[in-house]
Amino acid sequence: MRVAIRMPQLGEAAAEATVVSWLVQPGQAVKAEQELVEVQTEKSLLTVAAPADGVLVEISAKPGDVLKVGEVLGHVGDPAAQAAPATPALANVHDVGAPPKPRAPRPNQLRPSGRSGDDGGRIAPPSLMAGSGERSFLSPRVRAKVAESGLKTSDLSFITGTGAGGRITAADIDRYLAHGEPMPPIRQAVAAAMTRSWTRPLATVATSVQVDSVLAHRRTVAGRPSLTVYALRALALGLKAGSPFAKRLYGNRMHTPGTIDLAVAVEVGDGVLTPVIRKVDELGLPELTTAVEDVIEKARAGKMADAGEAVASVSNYGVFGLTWATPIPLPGHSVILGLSAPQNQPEWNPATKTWDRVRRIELTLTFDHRIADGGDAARLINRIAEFISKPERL
Amino acid sequence: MKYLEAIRLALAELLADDQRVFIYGQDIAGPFGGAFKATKGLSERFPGRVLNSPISEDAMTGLAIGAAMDGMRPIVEYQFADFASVAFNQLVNHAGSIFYRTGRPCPIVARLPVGGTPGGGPFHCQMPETWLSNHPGLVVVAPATVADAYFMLKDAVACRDPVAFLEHKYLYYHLEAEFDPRVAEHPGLGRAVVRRQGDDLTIVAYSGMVHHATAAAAVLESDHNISAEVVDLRCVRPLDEETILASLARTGRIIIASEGFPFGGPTAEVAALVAEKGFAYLDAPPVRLAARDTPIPFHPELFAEHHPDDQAIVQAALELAKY
Repeated sequence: MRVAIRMPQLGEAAAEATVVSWLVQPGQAVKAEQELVEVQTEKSLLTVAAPADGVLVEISAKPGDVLKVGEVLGHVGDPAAQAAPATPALANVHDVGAPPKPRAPRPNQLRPSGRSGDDGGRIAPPSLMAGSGERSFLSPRVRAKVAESGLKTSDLSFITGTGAGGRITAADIDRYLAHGEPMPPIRQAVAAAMTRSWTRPLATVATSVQVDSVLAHRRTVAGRPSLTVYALRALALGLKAGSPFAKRLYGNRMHTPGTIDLAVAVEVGDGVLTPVIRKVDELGLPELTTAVEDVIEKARAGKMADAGEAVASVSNYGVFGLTWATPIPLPGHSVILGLSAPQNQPEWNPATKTWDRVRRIELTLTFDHRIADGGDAARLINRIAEFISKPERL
Repeated sequence: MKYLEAIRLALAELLADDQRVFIYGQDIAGPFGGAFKATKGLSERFPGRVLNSPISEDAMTGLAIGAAMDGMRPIVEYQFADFASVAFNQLVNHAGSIFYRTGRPCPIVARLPVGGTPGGGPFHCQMPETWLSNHPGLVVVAPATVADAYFMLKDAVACRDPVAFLEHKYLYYHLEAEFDPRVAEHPGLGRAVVRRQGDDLTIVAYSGMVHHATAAAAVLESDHNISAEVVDLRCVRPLDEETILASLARTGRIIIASEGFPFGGPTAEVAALVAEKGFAYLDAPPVRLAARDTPIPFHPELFAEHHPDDQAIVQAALELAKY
């Protein structure tokens, strides 16, 4: 008779577990309750015990397989039964000769992997205790190796651990380092920032706005402010007018900065820098023009003028001729305002009954949906569009 | 040549080569030749230099210390290392501190038959290295091979410090090796030796346990595809930290095995060394394997369970390898 070894109920929450390794090979005799196979849930490394005395006649789940509770890991039975047709792995087939009945795992069928019982005076070897097989465990040797090789802890998420429970070993680090060269530091910084930002729920709203008035207005202002400057100013005033996106989120706490500080994206060499301009709501267009030129110049010279915390930023992707994009807000920022390239469009003029040529840009506003909702984003982008269409109010 | 024969050969050559050398102990002269026959035939060959002592380890050690201070090179044979506890005062308070106190060396060699044999019981099986090595001033060596038994005994007599020379009783007659003193390798006192090279884990052992360690390493390799390196300490004090740490740096995992009792001693000392100076090499906590924390039982089956063997080392290594 063959008795199935089934994935037992693994604590309250876990519905499945990954097979880590078999402690017994097929053909070996086993005793009921003997630890047979290590499995890893999200929380801990556990062992599944033999359901009966006999011989491990078949292993149907191999290391790396993910099994749901109740699915068959293998079979214990008579050695003679080894010749029996193989049970398809993971299939819900009943045991040969056994009446189909749901089996509750015996209370002690599952126990933390590791040392059990009194070991007399002998000093016990260390065991993989439940929970210690986490990927996050780094041995002192691996820590030293990480430091020595100039890797950052964040790099470890890219390394596949082949040790117990998926732990990263020194050899895993060597294998990782054998691939290519490190990303340039600025790319690593951008990658880390974008990944961090991307973990948030982000959504985008968009509208279009005519920019003829802005393009005319800028000729009248000292320093001929760019579209970016107008957009920064409009964003600052829009945020200041009671938008919830003027707030920053720290964990589950909302903080309202005393000033509206905004960042501008500056393309430099391998990446993008985002220097901060303080109190944008208090700067007139000429001062803001000077401030923007100043931080762009410094960023391109490799100097971060001000890398402090801002609440939002502007990305003028229109300089690449793009008509639409959804930039990602910087980590900690509530929104990012995007500007497309101006497009010539016909617009019906009811007064003259003619089609006039107007220039319009698309505005996109990507926002952190935890802070506020689509309506708030719509109100903010509409206010910005209104400021841009009536630049004399800026 | 057997382990005991290598010791006897070294004794004979020492007596022949250096008139300052004499051997002192209970029942060591002919025809008895000592409890384990290490001195068999020597009193006849070297009249007056292989001397029976009274049944007092205290007295015979004290006499040897005096002779050593007066320029002789005494070798003291204890019937069992267990009985050397009677001479503890002479060994640690006197021999160990004489050079520090007086500037005069005290070159005695205490030959201590150590280790367990079935049926030996609590007073004929013990390992004295833990209590001897705790005291400054004594060199404590524990040869595990035929060549080491020969050369380390010669080095011990040449050493100007008092040396506790631990001879494993089981190895006396059970360890036999092709050995030619003229060509055999000869690392000095204080050097550990890698007996078997490996990549996955290090097993540190000394005295008889070295043979359990190499047997375990063979099983690990053939049955479990685990490559174990075996480091034979040879010398418990001074400890060859460099060789231990170099091996750990290669493997990242370490087992320290001894048939001594578990509290303190060389296994704890190596574990402390590893934690203090080898932390960044560790992939897993160091593992100590020692005898059980009870007096040593008479009954052969209880005795077999009392101390680590090949199987215990294999088990510990399998656990350690998957940590």
